[in-house]
Amino acid sequence: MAALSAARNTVSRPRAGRNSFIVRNSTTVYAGGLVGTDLDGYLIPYNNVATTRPCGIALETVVGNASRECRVNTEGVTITTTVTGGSTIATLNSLVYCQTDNPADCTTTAATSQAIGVITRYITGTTNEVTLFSMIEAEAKI
Amino acid sequence: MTNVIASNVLANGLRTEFADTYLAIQNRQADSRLSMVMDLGIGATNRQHEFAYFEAAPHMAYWQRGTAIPQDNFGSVQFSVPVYTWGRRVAWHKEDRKDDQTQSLFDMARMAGQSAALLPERFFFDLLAGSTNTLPAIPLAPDGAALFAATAGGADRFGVSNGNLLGGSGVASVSQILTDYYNGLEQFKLFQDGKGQPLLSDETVDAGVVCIYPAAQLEAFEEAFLQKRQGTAVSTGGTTDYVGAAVTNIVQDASRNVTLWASSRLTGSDWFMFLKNPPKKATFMLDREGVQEFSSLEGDNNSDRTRDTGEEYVQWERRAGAGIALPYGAIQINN
Repeated sequence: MAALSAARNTVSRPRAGRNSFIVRNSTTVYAGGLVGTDLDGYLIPYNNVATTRPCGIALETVVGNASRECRVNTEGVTITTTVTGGSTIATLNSLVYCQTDNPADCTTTAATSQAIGVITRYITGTTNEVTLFSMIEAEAKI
Repeated sequence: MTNVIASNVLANGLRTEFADTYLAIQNRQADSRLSMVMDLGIGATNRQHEFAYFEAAPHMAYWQRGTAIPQDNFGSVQFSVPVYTWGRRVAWHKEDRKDDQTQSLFDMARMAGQSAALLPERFFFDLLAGSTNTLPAIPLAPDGAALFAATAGGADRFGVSNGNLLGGSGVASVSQILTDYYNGLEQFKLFQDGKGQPLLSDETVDAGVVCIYPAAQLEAFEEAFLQKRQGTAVSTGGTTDYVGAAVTNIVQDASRNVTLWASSRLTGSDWFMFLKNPPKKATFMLDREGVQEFSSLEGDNNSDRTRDTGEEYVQWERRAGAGIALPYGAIQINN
């Protein structure tokens, strides 16, 4: 390949915040759960493993069979949840971690796996809004 | 945020006799008794409205010959009520809607829109219990106190000790409930207008009340207000002892007009009395915009996002608020 010397028809699609990933064999991802990709590139429930990369929230429940895909919202939505350690307004903008695929397990304590988002709104001592990193933001470690 | 989870309605050959298990319930509407205790007819034209009223005018007084005529004034009160925006979106993948063997996904999604009709009732019980289950903030009454308060502005509310927040006897027995009921009626009659005269006419108080109480107290209240023969005849030593047992129901004997409302939205043992015919109802809803439905379906001309993602949605919006008027028509029995 070489630099273009004429117009090129580059086929693309809108960046609409949705992707499908192949679910790891015999692994179940649940709709509404945090999901990530493992070292091999398969979709798995988010966990506390350093090599797991967050990619969003599953839109459907899928049991992996090596080829079955799951749609994932990868645009980085805002969720309302309890964040352990987020009981004061001073924790606004804190990084949020989650050691499971359950968004209710969010915590401000650094975990082995990377942060999944940021506290973007303090509501009460037990309720915060967390804006999740989009898949691209998480990958870029923004 | 999560889409409709349709995985269980996609199998071929599904029968649909029970597809409307929830759709058939049709309970997303305000209770018909709500209009007796909440003014639902006040419109709004902006995102916050200021209301005002004059307090009671003075009464006639003795004018002694040779002196100047007695003179008195009255004050005024202003209060404001905000309008909030309410909404809900339900999204699904278009293929789930098409492949849904029950063909009820869209109808079910519309149940979320019907919920708009429940808002007034949810507002009312938030105001009643002082809880922010629906409303983001609970307003104060125009006199600066809560909906139910013993004092307002550093003095007894409505000029009577305990204001419209009466300590109750409990709900364990018929006599406790009836005692508190009559204490409530008597308290209504004792309200003062701030100028030394009764606030409400006896006819207004005697026109009847709506009693709103927790669903868990249903038996106790129906026993108190509806059971004709009350108390238990206790047999001791072969003779029947009727001591302490009332054999008739005073509320019915006195032809009191009582409407009972056992609400699943209340817990505990506090209960509330609302006059059926108050000059102004104690709570009101401010209606800015009725419910509006917007959808993004694959056939719509403006559904870019649906075409980008394959996800359809329908959403509803409404703008409304709720406020507290001067609550001289409401009393809480605080147990």
